[in-house]
Amino acid sequence: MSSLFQNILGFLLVYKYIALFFIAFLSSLGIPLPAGSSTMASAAFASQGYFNIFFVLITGALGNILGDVSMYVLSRKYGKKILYWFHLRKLVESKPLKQVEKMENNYSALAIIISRFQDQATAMVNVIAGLGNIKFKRFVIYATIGDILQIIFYASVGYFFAENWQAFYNTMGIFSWLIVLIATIISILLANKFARKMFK
Amino acid sequence: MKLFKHYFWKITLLLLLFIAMGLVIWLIVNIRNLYKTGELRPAREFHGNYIHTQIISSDQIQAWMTFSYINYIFNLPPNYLLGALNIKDNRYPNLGINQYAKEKKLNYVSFLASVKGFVNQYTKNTQ
Repeated sequence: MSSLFQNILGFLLVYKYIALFFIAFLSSLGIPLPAGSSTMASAAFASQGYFNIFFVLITGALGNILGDVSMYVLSRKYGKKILYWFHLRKLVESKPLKQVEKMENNYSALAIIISRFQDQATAMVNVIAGLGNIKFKRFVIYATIGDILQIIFYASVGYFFAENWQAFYNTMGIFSWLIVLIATIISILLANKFARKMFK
Repeated sequence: MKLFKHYFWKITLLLLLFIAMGLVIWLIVNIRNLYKTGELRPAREFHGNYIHTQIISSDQIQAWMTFSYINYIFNLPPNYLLGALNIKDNRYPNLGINQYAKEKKLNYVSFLASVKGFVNQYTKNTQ
């Protein structure tokens, strides 16, 4: 267990649900904090009776959803301005990118939902969704579905394995990389579909 | 080169699928091993009953744990560790072992050992 995660566990035990909310929120904003593992640990504490499982589910999901929406709004409002500032105007205004943005609205569901299971992928997809102008309502619905599924998954592992959750924690690293790989494979398959449609 | 460009995405996809399959196998083997060694056993039945799969011993106390959590897990009287370890901090019991040792410039390994010792002593006396 890394020393960062040990500090996070101490923080979780002292500030309970407020800590879980902030870890989930900041992680969705792209700050490298282990939100999934923190949820798992909190659920394990809930299983022992030290935390309340419903508060764990609610605060974890709320933190994730609010973080995702904030990142999406920031990226949508300031993302292009930052890219222009880096002299990438040509890329942002290119025709193929505009076409990809249009199609992204139709195929974004899977990418948004799956990415919620990996902390770094979540932040990256939030930025891309904001830059790609995916409709706000659509993004919120998919992000909420993904966040709820993610919270239920991590909380179930922690809750049912209780004091054994630390054994499972080490295996979670492999699992999260598997999720990233699956998301990449799906993205490549969808990208090929886009390309075939574009050059028809 | 042309042939490679033509098959680039297919090769990439195949490679990724191959790695994904490897990860799935690694994950399954890992979980099976943990289950066999007894490290990974569900502590709760689906009906909601909590089963202690492992007897919680004082050896499992770690530096990131707070006094409040230790009191709760080992069913200690709230002020037992406060008196035993002579802790002078208003934040007790909402205070981590590591945090307290660091702030009071104590050797955290020996402090952790003394926490374990007192918890062990209490559990033995109450058995």
